[in-house]
Amino acid sequence: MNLDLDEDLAAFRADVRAFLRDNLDESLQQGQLLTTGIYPEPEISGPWHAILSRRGWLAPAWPVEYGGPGWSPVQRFIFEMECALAGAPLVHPMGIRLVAPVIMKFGTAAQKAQYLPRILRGEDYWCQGFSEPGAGSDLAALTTRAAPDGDHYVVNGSKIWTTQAHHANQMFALVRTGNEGRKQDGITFVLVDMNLPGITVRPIATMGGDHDVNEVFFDNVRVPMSHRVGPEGGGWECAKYLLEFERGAGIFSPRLRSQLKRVGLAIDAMARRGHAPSSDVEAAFGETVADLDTFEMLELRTQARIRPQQSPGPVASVLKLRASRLRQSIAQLGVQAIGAQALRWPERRGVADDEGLLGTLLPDYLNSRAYTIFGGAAEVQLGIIAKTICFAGG
Amino acid sequence: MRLILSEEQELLASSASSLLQKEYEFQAQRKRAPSTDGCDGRIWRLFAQMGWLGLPLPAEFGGFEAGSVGTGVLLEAMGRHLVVEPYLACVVLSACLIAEQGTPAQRQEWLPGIVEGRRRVALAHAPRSSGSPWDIPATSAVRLRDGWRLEGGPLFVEGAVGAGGLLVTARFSPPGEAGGIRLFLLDGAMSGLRFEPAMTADGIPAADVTVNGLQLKPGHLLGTDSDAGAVLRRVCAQAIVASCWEACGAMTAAYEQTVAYTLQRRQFGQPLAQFQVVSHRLAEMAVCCTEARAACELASLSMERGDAEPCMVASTVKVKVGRCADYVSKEAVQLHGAIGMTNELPIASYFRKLTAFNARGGGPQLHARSLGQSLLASGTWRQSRTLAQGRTETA
Repeated sequence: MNLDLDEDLAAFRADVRAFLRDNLDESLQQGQLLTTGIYPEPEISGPWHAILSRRGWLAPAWPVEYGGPGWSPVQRFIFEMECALAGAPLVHPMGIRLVAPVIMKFGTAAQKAQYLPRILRGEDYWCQGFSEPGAGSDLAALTTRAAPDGDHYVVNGSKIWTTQAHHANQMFALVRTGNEGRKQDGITFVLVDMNLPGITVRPIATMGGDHDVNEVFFDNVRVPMSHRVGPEGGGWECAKYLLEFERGAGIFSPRLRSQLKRVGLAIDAMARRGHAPSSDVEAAFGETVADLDTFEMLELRTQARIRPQQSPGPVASVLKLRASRLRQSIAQLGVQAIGAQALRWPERRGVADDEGLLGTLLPDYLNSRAYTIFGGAAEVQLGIIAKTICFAGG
Repeated sequence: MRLILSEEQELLASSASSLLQKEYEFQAQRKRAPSTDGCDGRIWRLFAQMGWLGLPLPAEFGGFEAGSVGTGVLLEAMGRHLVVEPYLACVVLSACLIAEQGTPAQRQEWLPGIVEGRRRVALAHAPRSSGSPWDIPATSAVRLRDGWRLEGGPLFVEGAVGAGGLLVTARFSPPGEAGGIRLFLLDGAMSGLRFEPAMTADGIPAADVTVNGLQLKPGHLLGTDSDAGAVLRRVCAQAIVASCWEACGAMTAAYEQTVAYTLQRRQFGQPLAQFQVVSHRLAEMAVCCTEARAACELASLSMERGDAEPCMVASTVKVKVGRCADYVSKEAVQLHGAIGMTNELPIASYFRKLTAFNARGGGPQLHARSLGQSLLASGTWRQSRTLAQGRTETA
């Protein structure tokens, strides 16, 4: 057993570092550093997507036949870690990591040809239309209706918690095409052009003060049937595949480490103001780093044991659950570390100085409470772990 | 990069589990009369036959140089089967200290006998301050014209009674000179040594040993007359890592037994496991066991590579595994209900084992403070822990 990088991996890492040195400029780093929302704004991530795309590195997990670079899972881990540690903007995952695998697995040749190249070039900005006011954890209870009319579906209803729908030009959505039998059997997966008439996006104000999520209303929106992925009534299969793929292909420790680095920069800034960390901050810091180091090992060990595109199995739920909680502890460590400064509501955001940096920690902590809620709430993950790990024997 | 056990390590794990399952079958173990000696002689000889007494030791003395991972794999099996022999104290600590610090003559005199099970060496060591496991020893040594004199209160020593040797740590602070730490290796039957038999919380025979006023000859000094602090801290760190593997074995067994129990125990018309609250707690326990194992692997790999500060590696794994052990041990008892409190089931023994684990070598809270201070001073946490390839590495 060893953690040594062989010659090839060491050379690969050197390549990635050189690429970052030559292409990641300070304005993009600052943009990412000062981001308190769940994803950076498109003006930060967009230029970075273009740079990665030109290098062929925008979609590290894609199969080679669709334009992926053919990396092993460990190479992906190394790449993501180096990018995160260098302060590169987070790549917007909706197109690259969520909808693209579904199109690859369930889409027609025409759909693949229409959508995948645009995703690979970063030309479309996607959002996810899954949750509804009456269907959150119980997603199968969704009611947004898609009624057939010639070669179109007419869509009526609404979606909620739609991250960055206000920036998106495309949405992948689950809609209801039938009410017979099990509720899952009446669900269909469609790709929706956000510029179609009848779509309204309304912002939702959340507690950190960032505009991340929205409500999206559909009023007689005509979606071509050719934009349905998989068969009518086959949407639940697509959704399960997407969620399992996303959970399995997720690599979380790089961004957890860069988040911790931000807390570290805040501690440095506090030191410049004459405040040394108190002993409770020291103890919390020790616990958080022990947690993060352990998580990183568990994640790397998981990646080292699978082939590309292979699901790691039940441990994926453990990783997802722990990553979300760790994200929250790091955010909480941040507000703990800045003490009374955390009492100040930051009015001025996005400015790259000490005050601007310290001002990211409170909003980040407030926003972090969502991490154990979206993408499968913690309570749902615990149920999956119980079923697939604790009771796996039968 | 290879993150699965080697064939050799897998074999060690399975053969250890086989033997220990037989020798330490729970109900038989309960009925076994406690040994008046510091360990069960028959079982210790079995360990010798299996090669375990030399597992971490150099090959030239009959050892297997199994490293931190190999040693950990054995300790994990010992934890699972609730072994009460003083293996950690006598092999991972004492024997390794002799191997690292002893002169060639001392190593030759003691190590082959230890590996063959003919002699056992116990360790008399306590840090001066209970607030830090890395503090200098409580016992002090005064240099005399023709040797040394030890001073200090009684020390709690695992596996002390009947030990052929006693390894004592002492601080040496001569006025106006750099002093440091000295280690002394004494005959276990030396006159002047007093033993009051005792026991650890997890059932390992121990004793309160009095060394105060003992007059030692120069030959009692282990190694050369120089500071042994770095060696002591490193070996103690390795022992903490090994003890975390043992805790992993214990907590995983406790978790598995709790799953089995809740699946068959029926109340209110259904198995306890079907209540969502219960199944969620079992899931949390499973997560703890998974993480604890990963933490041990990372710590052992770091120790084997020697590229991180040993005390920080030890504190990191103790902080993580200590909290996992705390959670799993409590829930294991809780989910068994009243029967989890009785000595009739292994659960109570696992609770005592995991409680003793956190009391041994400093608990997770203590290590968290110590670790946090060191981390904030060093800045190593700003880089990836698993991809770091050298101590001097920077981005």
